[in-house]
Amino acid sequence: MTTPTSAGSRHRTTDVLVVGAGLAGLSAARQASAAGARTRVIAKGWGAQYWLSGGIGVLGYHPLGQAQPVASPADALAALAADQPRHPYALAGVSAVAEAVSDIQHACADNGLALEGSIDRNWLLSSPLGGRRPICLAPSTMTGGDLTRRDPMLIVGLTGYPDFPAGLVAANLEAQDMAATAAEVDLVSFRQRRFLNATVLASLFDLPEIREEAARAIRPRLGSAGRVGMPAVLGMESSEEAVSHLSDLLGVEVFEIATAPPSVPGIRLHRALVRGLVGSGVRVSSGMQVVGSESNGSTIEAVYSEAAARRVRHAAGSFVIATGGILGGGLITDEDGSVTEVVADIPVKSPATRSDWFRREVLDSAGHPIYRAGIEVDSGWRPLDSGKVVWENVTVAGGLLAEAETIREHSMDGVAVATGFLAGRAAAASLVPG
Amino acid sequence: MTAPLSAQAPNPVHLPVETTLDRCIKCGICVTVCPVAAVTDRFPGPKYEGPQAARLRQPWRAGAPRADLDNGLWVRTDDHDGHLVPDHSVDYCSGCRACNMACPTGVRIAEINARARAAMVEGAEFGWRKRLRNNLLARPELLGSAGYPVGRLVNAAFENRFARALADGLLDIDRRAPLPRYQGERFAAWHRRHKPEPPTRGRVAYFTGCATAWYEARIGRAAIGVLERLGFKVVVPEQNCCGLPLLSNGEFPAARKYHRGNVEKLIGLAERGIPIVGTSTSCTLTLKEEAPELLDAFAPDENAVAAATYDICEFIAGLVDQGDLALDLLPIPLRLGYHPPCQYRAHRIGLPALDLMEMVPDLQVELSPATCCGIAGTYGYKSEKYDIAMAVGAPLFKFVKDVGGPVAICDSETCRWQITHGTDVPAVHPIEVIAAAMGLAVEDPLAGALRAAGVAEA
Repeated sequence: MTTPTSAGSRHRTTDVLVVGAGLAGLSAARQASAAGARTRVIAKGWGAQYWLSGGIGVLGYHPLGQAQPVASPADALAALAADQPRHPYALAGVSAVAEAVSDIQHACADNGLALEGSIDRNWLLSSPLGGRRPICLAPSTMTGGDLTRRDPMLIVGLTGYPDFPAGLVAANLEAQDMAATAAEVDLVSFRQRRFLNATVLASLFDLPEIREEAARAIRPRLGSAGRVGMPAVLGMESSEEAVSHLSDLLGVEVFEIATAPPSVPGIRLHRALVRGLVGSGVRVSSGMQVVGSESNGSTIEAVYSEAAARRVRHAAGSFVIATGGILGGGLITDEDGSVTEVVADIPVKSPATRSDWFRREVLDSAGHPIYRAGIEVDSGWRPLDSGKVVWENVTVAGGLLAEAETIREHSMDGVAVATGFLAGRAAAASLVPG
Repeated sequence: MTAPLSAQAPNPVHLPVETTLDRCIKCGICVTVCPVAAVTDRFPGPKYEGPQAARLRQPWRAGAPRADLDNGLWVRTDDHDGHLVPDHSVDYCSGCRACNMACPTGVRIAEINARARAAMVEGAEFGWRKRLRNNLLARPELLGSAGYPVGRLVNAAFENRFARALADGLLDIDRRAPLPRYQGERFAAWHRRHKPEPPTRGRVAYFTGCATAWYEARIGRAAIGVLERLGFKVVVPEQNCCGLPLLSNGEFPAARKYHRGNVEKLIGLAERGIPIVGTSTSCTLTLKEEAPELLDAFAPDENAVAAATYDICEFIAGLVDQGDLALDLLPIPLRLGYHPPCQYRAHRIGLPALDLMEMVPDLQVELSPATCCGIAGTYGYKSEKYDIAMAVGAPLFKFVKDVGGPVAICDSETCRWQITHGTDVPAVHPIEVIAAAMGLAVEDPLAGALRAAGVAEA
């Protein structure tokens, strides 16, 4: 008979609670956990990665309004930091951004997902409509679509799958002086499905026989194409194997092009990062929308998530808020012009009245002021109200931060990764020892 | 008197679930996580069936919420021109709620689908055979009580190929689906002769659930053993079926009777601050949220019963969190796979059963990455859905076989039966594992697994 041991509540104790499971939250959790903090991630649902391309865009355009995309994010980051000292990248510093980008690359590689590139150079890849899309780290399955190369492309669409208009992609690439033609292939195996969405296709492309069927249909259409671009649905679990298998079958390089959401490469990225966290003992839970918090003086003691019948209390030593901006749901905008932060009611820097949210023209080259709304932070990523720290044990990361205009800058992933990286470290470092 | 966690604020005002459809931004994340759409064309996916089709259904559905622009409110309407739903594919929603859990904007997709199915039932869109079949499957209490006295006969019939073929042919109850077995003494009989130790804490009420009442009494015995060992005085109140099977078959008026029955039987306990604790995650979720939300049952007594209801592991882990108790746990040197059912995840309380099991020394619990076992209550019993349910469950079956322990762990009864059906691995409730770690005598299949692992009986 063994003596019972009193287990206490070690598995119910959280040092760092991360709210949000996008790139910012997952990066923060990785750092906090690596620093030895017992870390937990809770999120309302799955977010931006399911909408984005599955790579890491660090900085695509600077200054804004320039037609020419950034060639080297590292160089442009230095310029951005000088031009906009309150920008999250300026607060982070160029070397920390580089470190964070390299870290996420390693995190993905450790979990079976190859992201190629470095902070010194942007890839130029096709957007889902055939536009030029600068991106710093790209899935290895996409980099064959490098638009700085001149070899002609065959863009292949799949009959029955509406989220990738191959003809439009090729026509847009042609209009930008790139050699591209389009073909659509109609696979018998796909005809058996009435609904072809991205994830169903991705699971089908995990199967070698489907790739063989696709290659048989594509081969007669190859013409003089030196490479083949297909929608980014080439496998969910084994995309790298699927792309290389298709390349072998066709005798030319095959690459993926990002599709309209939902994004299969984004799902792969999300799953790789979650897998890494779960493997290091971090629990990641969705369906937990944080709706309020409990404070004591200038510290947050717990946050509450909505649940069946009653809210759930989550106590922790420190909190990383990475709930996203207006798109992600971390900020709520109201028709009266108010902009509210949802977790701890942190003051938001935003235009004074609703009529100041937007400029007159939809596509005004100066952008719209509401897109720069967000939370201001100190050098330790703690939220500020008129220059004073609001909560001592809270750090903020990602889309919630003020001053970045991530959609136009093509910086959404990079801002999330870099600020998550630093906010997660800061959260772990701020814990009271013992 | 113990009233743990009761200081927590209740959720804010409830609006009808259909009002959440306006939050849908059409991103399609729900479609990527839906286990049913992944394996069948009969269900196009949550986005299309939920927020999109709901927009078409709303103006015509009797009782559906509708915007009353004059008053700026959502109101109920009684006008009804007989035009109900765009198509029947919504009946292929299994109600697993994976969509709700992934939705970044908080659309109550599964609930929208459940109410659409109810509108079809109300509008006589289902034939009488399907209604009869669904009503049979959805009344475990009736079946349990009618079958128990002749349990051996029923067991034999359930295992008889001719009887199953007949049920399949006549009623579309799939001949292969995992029907339960009557085994041993039923829970109520055991409980009547059960002699507890004198309590050292307050009272809790145990909500038995139909599966424990009629088929798996061992789980009730384990639950009561654990609660009593922790010092509680456990009462087993009069109760009836929670009504969830009826809710998921769109039989709302009958479900409402069951839910009201429970509320009236349990409100006295709730008013006295006595927690109502259950081992069936589906029953507890129904009392907490499913019945109130689907039936718009937010009367004060209904809210009070909901707020007093806990999953048993949620309840115990909450006490541990509060420092109210420390668990003294014996080692269990086993590696076991744990599948938290979708109905458990839908409580949105995290994974307290896993938290507790992780406190057991030497016990290695592997967490299932699978979304759903496929059975979804009564779904996988239906001939037209059996193959879908098995395809949905395939990743879970693979996980359970790969882990390869002598038993699998799962909180929900039909999921346990489905796991065993898909893998031949017996399945137990987490509370049985906790009971064993507390040194309480447990029953087969766990007892056998522990003996084989060299764990001495207490």
